[in-house]
Amino acid sequence: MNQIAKLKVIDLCFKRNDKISLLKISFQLESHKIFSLLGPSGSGKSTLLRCLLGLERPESGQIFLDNKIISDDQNFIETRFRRMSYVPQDLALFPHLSVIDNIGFGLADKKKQRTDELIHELALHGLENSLPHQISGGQQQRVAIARALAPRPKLLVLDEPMSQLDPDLRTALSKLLRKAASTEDCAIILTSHHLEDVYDISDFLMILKDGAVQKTGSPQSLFQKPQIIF
Amino acid sequence: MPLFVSAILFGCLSFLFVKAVNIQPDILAHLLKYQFAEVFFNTIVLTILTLVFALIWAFVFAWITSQYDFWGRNFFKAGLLWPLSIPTYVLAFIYLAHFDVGAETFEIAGFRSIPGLAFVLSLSLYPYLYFQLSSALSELPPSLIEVAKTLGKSRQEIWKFVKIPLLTPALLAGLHLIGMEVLADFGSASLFNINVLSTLIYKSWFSLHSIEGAAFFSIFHVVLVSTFTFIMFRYKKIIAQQNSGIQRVERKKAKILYSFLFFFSCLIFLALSFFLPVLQLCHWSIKTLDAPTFFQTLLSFRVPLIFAFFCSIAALICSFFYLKSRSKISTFIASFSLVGYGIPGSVFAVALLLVWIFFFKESAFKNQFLYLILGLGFFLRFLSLTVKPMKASFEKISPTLMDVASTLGASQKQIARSVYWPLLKNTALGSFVFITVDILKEMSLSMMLRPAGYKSPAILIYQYTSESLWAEAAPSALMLVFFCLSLITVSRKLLQ
Repeated sequence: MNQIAKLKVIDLCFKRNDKISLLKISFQLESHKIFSLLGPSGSGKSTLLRCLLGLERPESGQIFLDNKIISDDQNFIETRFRRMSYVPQDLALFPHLSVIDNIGFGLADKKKQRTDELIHELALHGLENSLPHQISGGQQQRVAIARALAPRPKLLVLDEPMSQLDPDLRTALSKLLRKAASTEDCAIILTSHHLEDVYDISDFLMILKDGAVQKTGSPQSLFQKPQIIF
Repeated sequence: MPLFVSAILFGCLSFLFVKAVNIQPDILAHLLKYQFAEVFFNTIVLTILTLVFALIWAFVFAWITSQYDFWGRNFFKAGLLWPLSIPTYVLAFIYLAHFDVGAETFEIAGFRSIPGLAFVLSLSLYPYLYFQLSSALSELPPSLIEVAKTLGKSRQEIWKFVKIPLLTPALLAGLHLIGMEVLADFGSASLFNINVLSTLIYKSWFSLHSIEGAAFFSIFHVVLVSTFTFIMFRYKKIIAQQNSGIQRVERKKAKILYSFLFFFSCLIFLALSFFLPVLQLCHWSIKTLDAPTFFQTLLSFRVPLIFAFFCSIAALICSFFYLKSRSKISTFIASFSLVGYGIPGSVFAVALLLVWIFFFKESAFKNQFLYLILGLGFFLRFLSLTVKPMKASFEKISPTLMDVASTLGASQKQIARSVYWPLLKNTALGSFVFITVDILKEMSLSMMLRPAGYKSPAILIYQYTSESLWAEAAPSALMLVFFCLSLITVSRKLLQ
């Protein structure tokens, strides 16, 4: 079945201080799929995410979301209108808000219904009124994901979600993301340093090095080519 | 030790309370009828206006220096703290000399008023808030703002729901310090001839010779200060939060036009709050300073410095007893013993004077005992300046350091000497500096409890300025400012 691309990136370039950070990056991603960006520190993974989110303006190239242009030479849709949610590496939970208020932060209407739904789905019962520093690291991560899923984004972006998790929490997070990808009408992009961390959950992988695409393919195809080392 | 300090403090406050309930009815009726409403109104309005002015200065300059890179930024970031070295009463007499009715320079009608005093106080006190806000703004996690943007929030909404709540603890901490200073201020209010609670306490005692009246208004003053503190902390508790980690905000490079604007606004403001007052003090000092005045001024530092030395040593020794509070009761006792800093100097003075009258007035060494009482007053009032930072620094030291040192064969003494002391010594020296600065600047406690023959820079300044001898007060004020500035600079280096 030929699916319509949720996200399409064509020849995306980005410069920082006259130094090329991203060079002609192109890829596309369908709904319900999980896409992983791999590469060493400074390879351009986070910069690519920031360009997709509209937190940085690309030098050139085009980004389409649901077949609508959100960034090119003439157009640049502001971050808050893109309907992309973001889970940064430090999770960035609002420290002054309770779990329930964090989850409902991006919602304007039907707040209660949606937050209750997510609290149930992400097993956050009993923590509704806790502050972020009162809950464990794994629970904090689930709250951050619930907050990101609450406004029903078209794209969910996670920066290094596996980096500080122990094996049990990694497995739990993988299951959670897979479930989110299948139940929500969105695509998921995440970054990682290690292929093993994202091997199980990714539908598609891209390896970046020095801002350029080094390799793309399915996890199986890349895992069978050990010469790709970064 | 906390129990012992608490007992002394409680004893002093009890003396105050017992005396207050015995106030002569005619004096109470007179004070309530003719003074109280005006004084209460003045105190509240002065505090609110000073907080508003200080909030404006502190926010504007903290925002500029923490968010933008412009020419001279590093200089202004540190320099905007310098006005803290000018005591409020020094800035007050310089401004009065220039802008009051009949001033040589520039007469502003109605300058000797509550808004005028609030303006002057804010110029001297805003650094308390500037310092807090500047750190908070530099440490606002950028990822929180970015996440709020991805969740569809506009710039205004991000301010309302993210930035302001996150800045509020720093804002309240700074405003609380400023409010306490204003409520405790005695020197500037009496120079401006504005009746506030601290001056009323002084008047009840020195003009109406009613120690009971002074005690009565001292109790009222304590209630007012406690209410202010309660409101601040209650609100602060509601929005209290913990940052997950410190991420520095990346500063934007200001465009040329804005760079000029920022540079000149910082320069003009620093000129008004620091450079011009100091230049004026230099000018007056050159005119009036001769060898005898110089030595008299220098000698006036001697006894306060001795007090500062002994108080700091005593506070440092005491602070080790505060490092571990085991139960709720011991925590409460420890907290109570540190409330001295929040009690205005004039209130302390009345309480301690009552103690002196009760125990030592008939003694042959009553003057010597008054020195002891003054020293005790400084100690009780400024103890928290040592204990709180020492406790905070101690809590930052990982307990595993001690475990590791023990496994390497170090004894308790060796651990204290070679592990804890090197990590705590800068904090100890920093608090020594703060106590010294505060004792030198403290006016109301020194003025009201001064033993015969006791001189301090603050007392000399008060004596001259109360007779409008601005130029004669300048050498003491200038030396005080330079002394405080050097100490503040040293302490900043130590604490870095």
